[in-house]
Amino acid sequence: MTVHVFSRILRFTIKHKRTFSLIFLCCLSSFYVEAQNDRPEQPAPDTARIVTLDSVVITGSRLRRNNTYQYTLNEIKPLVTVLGEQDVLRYIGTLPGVSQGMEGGLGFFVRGSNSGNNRFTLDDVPVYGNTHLFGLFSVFSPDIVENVNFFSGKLPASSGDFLSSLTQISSKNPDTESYHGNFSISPFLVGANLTGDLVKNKLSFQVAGRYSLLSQEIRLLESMLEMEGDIVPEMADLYVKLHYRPHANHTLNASGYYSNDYFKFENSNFSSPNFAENWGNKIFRLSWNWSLSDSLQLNTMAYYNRFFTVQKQQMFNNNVLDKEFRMQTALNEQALHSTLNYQMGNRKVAVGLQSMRREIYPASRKIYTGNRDTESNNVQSVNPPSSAVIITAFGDYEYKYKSVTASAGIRESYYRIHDYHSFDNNIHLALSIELSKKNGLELSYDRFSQFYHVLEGLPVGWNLDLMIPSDKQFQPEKAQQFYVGGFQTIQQFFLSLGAYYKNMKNLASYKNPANIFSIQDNWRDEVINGKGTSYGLEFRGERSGEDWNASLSYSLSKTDRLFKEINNGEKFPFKFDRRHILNFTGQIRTRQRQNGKQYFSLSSSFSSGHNITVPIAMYMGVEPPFWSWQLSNDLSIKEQENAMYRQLMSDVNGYSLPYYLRIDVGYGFLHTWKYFTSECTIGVFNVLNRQNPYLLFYDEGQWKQLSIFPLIPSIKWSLEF
Amino acid sequence: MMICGFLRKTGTGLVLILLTACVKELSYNIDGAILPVVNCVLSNDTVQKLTLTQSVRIDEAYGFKEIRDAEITLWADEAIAGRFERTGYATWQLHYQPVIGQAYRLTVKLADGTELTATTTMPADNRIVPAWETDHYPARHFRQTTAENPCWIFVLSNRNGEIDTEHPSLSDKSLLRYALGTDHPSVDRFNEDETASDLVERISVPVSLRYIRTQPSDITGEGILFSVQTNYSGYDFVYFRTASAEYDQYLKSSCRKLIAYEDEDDPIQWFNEDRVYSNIENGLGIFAAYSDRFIYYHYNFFIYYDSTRIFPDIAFYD
Repeated sequence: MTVHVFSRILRFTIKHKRTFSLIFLCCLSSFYVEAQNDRPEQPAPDTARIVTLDSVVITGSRLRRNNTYQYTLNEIKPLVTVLGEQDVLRYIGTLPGVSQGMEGGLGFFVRGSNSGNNRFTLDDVPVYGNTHLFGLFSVFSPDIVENVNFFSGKLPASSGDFLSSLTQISSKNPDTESYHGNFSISPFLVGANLTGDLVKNKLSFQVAGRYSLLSQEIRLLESMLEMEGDIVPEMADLYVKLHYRPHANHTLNASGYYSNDYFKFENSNFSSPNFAENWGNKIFRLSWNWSLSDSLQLNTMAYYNRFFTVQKQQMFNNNVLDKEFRMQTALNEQALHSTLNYQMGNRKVAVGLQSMRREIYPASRKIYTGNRDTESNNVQSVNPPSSAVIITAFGDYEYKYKSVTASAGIRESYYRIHDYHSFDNNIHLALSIELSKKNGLELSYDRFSQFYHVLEGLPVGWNLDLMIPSDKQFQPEKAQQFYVGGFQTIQQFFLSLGAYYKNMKNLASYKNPANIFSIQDNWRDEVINGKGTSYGLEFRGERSGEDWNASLSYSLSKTDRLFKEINNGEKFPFKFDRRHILNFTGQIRTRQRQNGKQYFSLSSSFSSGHNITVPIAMYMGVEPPFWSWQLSNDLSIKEQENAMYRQLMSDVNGYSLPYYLRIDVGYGFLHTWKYFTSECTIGVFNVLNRQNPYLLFYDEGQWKQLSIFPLIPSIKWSLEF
Repeated sequence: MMICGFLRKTGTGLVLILLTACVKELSYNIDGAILPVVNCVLSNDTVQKLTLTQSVRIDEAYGFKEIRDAEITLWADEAIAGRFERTGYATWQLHYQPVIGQAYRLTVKLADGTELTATTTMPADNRIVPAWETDHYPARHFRQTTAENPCWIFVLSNRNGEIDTEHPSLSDKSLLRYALGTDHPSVDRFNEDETASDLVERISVPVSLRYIRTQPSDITGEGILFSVQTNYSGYDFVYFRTASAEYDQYLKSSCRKLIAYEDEDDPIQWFNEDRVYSNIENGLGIFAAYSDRFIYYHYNFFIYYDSTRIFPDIAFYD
């Protein structure tokens, strides 16, 4: 498990109606608990005696730090999503330094990096296909999530192979004493979760799954949408965990995770091809935690991780399957990690070794001719898989002296693929100075490497982007990031302000935007290397409380890219270089009863528009060879027009769209019975029904604007037992 | 909403996202660019043509104004190869046959003092000869022994046999073939379309639309044997157009842009940000060069017509 290199104080309040005699202290520096007693103050006893308390209020305070955010399901509750599903990744979009891609999508651009530079892990296993439904919500069911750590800087050396942010999702440990679970349903998803003990206090399990109802609903809508065929979207995920504790010092966990998205379009009369897209994850993980002593722990983990996307087209001749084309991008990983954690007094040390074998299928194409069932299949395949080995040694050291906490991490990796190999070192340095108990300064430096490239198409955060391995032609991506900031705690408020600078190199991008819609199996001719820089200011304010909590984030930033063959080799703005980003989330308890409560949620998102390239002029062109020697009725009018004339495009990303503004509201009803708790949440995404511009284009003699999501209501009901 | 048309490009994913999307018209003032535009592509003809116009704002009608007052000079190194003369609305020409391997510069001096310039080099033909011994429908075979420059291959078919076989030339009954494929090892697959493969019976290679582009490469030994497959009618002109670097970039970027507009209803064109190549300094357009040669197949024999030779080669095959 990753060692956190900074100290936090967690504030929470617990009220107990029962009498108890225990007050506890938490470790991990300055975590304190304030116990309150409803009785009148008693004089100090001359001798020790047992005091029975009627009720106790324990109050702790959480002190946030810059660059790093830990949150639980409580923090994500105020967020209203498009589909009404709680989403642990959606919260990231509200943090400073994070620019969103397409509205409603989970494509995040953190401090100027690409969306594919972010890393998402589930119990330290990377999850490459982290979204469902083309980026609309994440694959991480809230039922399995204990907490989430988000790092935009000051990263632990135990994690690497990414260039931007790290989102560590920790799963819950199954209940070792009793059974409980929950069931939830919304118009789009049905989900269930069950956890319990198989052997009391020794062996326990958790099973959680979700399944979409979209395919059934779309069938109902088919007639309204005038579809010529059938669209069948299916989505599911399943998580299983076994937790075994044979001894107080030994813990074994085995877990499996499966997610699958499948979308199919079938023509009813075989006149046009059938299409299908499929992607998913399969993860198997084993871990062993051995507490050698109170201060020394050994964590060992092995995993198998498979991520794939497949696009398929079937063509028919006389209603018989004639040809099938398949394009696959896949990634298979097998890894073994071992980390030794040592903590003594004001020192923390973590050292470890990791070895990984990664196989990438970068746009492997197969063409089947004839009936698949016969022996006369002709299978042509291109782009065989590439196999890489990554061996890593790392170490993290943290030392706290009085009000100063210094940490240093180094991660040395050996990467080999085909005839290319490289040594890369990542360095993470941080200094935190508490000027007083309530404020301080923070400085950090991070150096990253990423050993694969994600060629991004639409910024939806979907999983259909092409992944290619780093090699001689496209070397590992690298970045350096500097951060300086300060933080202040005022009662229940936490404020932070900081500035960052980041430079990146060996970024991979398509030369031509046309490739964003199709994975080309000749991608080597279509991809180039380039650089990027980003700098900005970030502000965050939070208030955590029992009755209401809120957060406000603001970013002011600038991000550029430089590619030799794009924009005539001149620097151009990054597509999601949103100059201003302002996010607010809040939740207030409107009613509290003995067996329930109600709450109102409000969130707003304001940002500068993203950047686009638009046509600004038309001019006479040279027709392609013998263009007019075709049957004219075979050509569309626009095709003919673009053969004769040419469009002059603006500078790359030379225009900024108007600002983006969205307000979401939600209301929740929580009711507790003896054995059950039910919760119903109603939400409205984009309550203003503002048509936020996503795209500006010129069509049919008119400028037009494309907006993605209007006002969308949602409802979800869950039952917990 | 009719979905079927654009699924070929975007797949089902964009469908679901656009289910809730809305498009509205708006007034948008965008700074247009009114620039001089010159188009001149040198060929192995004896007459070279050029157009000189102005661009228009994207939201204006496509009435391209000509630029009438200009001095247009073609330079071969530092010597004047010739001056273009105006022959019609926006149209200029020069009687000159370019020399293979020669570097050319075009200068256009406008009345307001603006000077447009561009350079190109007349490419040497890639040496490609028929390898008819292995021909079988729908494939014609060829052997390539040089590939210094990019090559664009396309096929024009006559719908009947009314061709003068001693001096074959295109007629008004010739049609550009829409779907064709090749197994050339250096083929550029940028315009491949799997869904078009059913347009060519028994084709065994991926299908490209209208044109096949092959990349330059080093060829040693006996050369590369490759096929071009399409629906040959029996009266076919197989063209090999060797392109200068400028013409190659211009043509590829133009064809790539066209792909987005194949289907009138396809919203993929809304997202199109492709740029067409231009090498005109202080203006727009293209100054480039190409060299054509073709092989004419007449049912059971072919005529190998080398544009640089006076007499064609003729061979018979069964």
